[in-house]
Amino acid sequence: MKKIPVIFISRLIAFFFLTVLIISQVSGQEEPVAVNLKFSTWKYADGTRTLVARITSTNDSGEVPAEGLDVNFFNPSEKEENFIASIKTGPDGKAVLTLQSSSKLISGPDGIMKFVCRFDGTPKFEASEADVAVKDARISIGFAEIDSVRKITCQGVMINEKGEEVPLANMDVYLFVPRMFSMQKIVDGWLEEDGEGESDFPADLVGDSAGVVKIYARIEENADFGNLEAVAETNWALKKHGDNPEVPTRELWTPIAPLWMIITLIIMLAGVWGHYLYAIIQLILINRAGKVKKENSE
Amino acid sequence: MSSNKHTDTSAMLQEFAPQLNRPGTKSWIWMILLTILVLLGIYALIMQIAHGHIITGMRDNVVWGIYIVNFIFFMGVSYAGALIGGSLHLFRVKWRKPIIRIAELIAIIALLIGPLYILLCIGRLDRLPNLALFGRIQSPITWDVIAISTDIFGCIIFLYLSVLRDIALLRDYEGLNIAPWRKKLYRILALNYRGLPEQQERLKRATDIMAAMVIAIAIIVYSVLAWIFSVTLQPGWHSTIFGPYFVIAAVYSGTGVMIVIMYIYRKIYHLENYITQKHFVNIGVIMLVLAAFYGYFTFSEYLTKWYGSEKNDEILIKVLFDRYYWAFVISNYIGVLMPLIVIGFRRLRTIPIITITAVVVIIALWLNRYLIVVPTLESPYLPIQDNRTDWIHYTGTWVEWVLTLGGIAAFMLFFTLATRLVPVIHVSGEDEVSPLISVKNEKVPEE
Repeated sequence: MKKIPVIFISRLIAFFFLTVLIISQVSGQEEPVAVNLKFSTWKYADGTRTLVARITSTNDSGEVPAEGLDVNFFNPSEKEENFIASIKTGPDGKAVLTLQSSSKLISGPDGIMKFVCRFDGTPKFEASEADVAVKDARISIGFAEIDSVRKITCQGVMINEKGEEVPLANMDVYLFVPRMFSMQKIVDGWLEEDGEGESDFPADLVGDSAGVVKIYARIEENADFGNLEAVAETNWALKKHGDNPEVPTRELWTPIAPLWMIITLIIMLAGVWGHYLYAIIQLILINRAGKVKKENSE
Repeated sequence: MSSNKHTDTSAMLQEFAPQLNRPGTKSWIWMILLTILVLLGIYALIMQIAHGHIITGMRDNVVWGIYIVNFIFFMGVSYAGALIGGSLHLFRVKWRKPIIRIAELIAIIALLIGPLYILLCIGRLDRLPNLALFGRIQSPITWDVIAISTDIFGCIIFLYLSVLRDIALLRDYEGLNIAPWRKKLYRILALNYRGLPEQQERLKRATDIMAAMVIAIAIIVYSVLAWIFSVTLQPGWHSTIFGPYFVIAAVYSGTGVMIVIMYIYRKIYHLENYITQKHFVNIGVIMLVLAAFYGYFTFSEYLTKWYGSEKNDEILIKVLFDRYYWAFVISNYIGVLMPLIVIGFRRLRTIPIITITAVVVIIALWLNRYLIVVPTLESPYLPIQDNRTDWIHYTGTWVEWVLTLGGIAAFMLFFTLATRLVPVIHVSGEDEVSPLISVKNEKVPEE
């Protein structure tokens, strides 16, 4: 059979891979993609307000957050835009602007505050804009023991165009506790006409080792007020007991290994290193025998 | 008899002296080229340390990538070298002499390169001592550290035992044009070996024991490496046959590397009289048998996954046939069938064809490791809570590829340096019974 030239075939294989590499690197100019801009506002019990703009784009695998984009926030009045700040989106695509309670925000004669967020676009992404219009309000949360029954209380107030606090009536309020991956809802509550609501403290709620738990009260995605949140801490929850036995047990997951594992490892390592030791001793004896022979022949 | 052996040894030393002498221009160019590639790898490493792992393709979900693939690959090659070297020695295979040194060198050099990739994969190297200070015996990682350390030591002892005779010959041979420090090195390493009957007996006993030990250790080491994957619950990893599957794949890839190195040295040093077609065919037959076993294990692995129709296994298989289709075909079809065809048909058993097949096997087995590591991490039990493309799909970056190239270059460089120190073929007779005689001056005793 004819000898197949190895060098030729090697060059052919190399050429093939090079071609594939070049083709994969070549890509045409891309048009800017459309973005999804979601804009929301959160008001907290201490009076701070956050404006959250999230920019994502859509591809085959779904929505992909867009990082590093400049989002401009405005609080427009009838006459002007009133630029507040420019924030870059983070790895999750969110640009978050926090306004302190002392910030002077512009609202209309009806007490409605408008906020606008604008993304001016880049060569990769199209420009986009969104706005929200909310009235100022806040909720607060507290704890009370009434007739030996532990209660969680909520109060909601709206700040009207005159700056007066008016009870926030007939609103759905949800209570949450933070868990490992997300917030867990524990109560579906309701604010009465007087803007107050209460619920029994869940008897089976587990806190930390001291029984401390944070409880969040939220009014979510309300058409008039946006999102409102309040948080408070209490030690009324059940205490979480750690697994700390007085005598440490030997398990796969404990600091001390199972005994059979330790014994097996010792036997195996002793056997192996024992053979190594034997080989090294043989080498030492080989050296010694050669030295003796050399001395005798001298 | 002994005079013939003496003459043979002397002739072989004269023939191999050029390989050991001061390097020529071509050798220097080759070594400088390899050193440049290694330095490029070091540059990539510095960039990685300076900027963090964000410049690699690894992210929160696919936390293992090319580095781990390379680690498994090099460890497998090392194991193959140990198994082949140990087996050829223990079974006193007649045709072993020209190739056993290559197997021994592969075993130790690959074992030195492989674990470096683990260090590259670790984001916080300053926390490495914690593995020793706070390591748990229950952890497969701890087993792996202990096993690899033991294996390195064992392979070094085995290599040293097998080159001892040759070093003693080189110590006494005056025909070498080498630097004085190398002559001194040979003197020290030769350990006063004079070929005395007592020394030969001790050396034979120690080598036999270590040959058996390196085989056993290599099986254990590679099984422990497989268990790092299989004791997890990841679909694609949690398999009872991963231990033997890894072992078979390891030896398979190692035979490919061995054939390639045999071909290279045969060409460069004109060793046609020593490394003959018979050697290629014999190693090729080993490769054929391993191809069959590898194909069997692979088929068994994927058949059980596919047939069980468990949701996450289905997702994994879909990922393999979707995004990694060609890699799967090369790894599990071409990588299995090509050796079977090439070695199976007598007319195709030529040195060039066997070598090309070996190259294909090496690529196929590297892809096999890639398909074990990456697609599984891309399809975990808990769906990835992210949409960013590079967080969902892994793609190696220039840093990882340059370090891969650097590792391969380091392997070749160490191999080159090692074969500058000792002959690539056993020069001394394995079964000599007469005392070693200086080939410089002394007369050969008449029988």
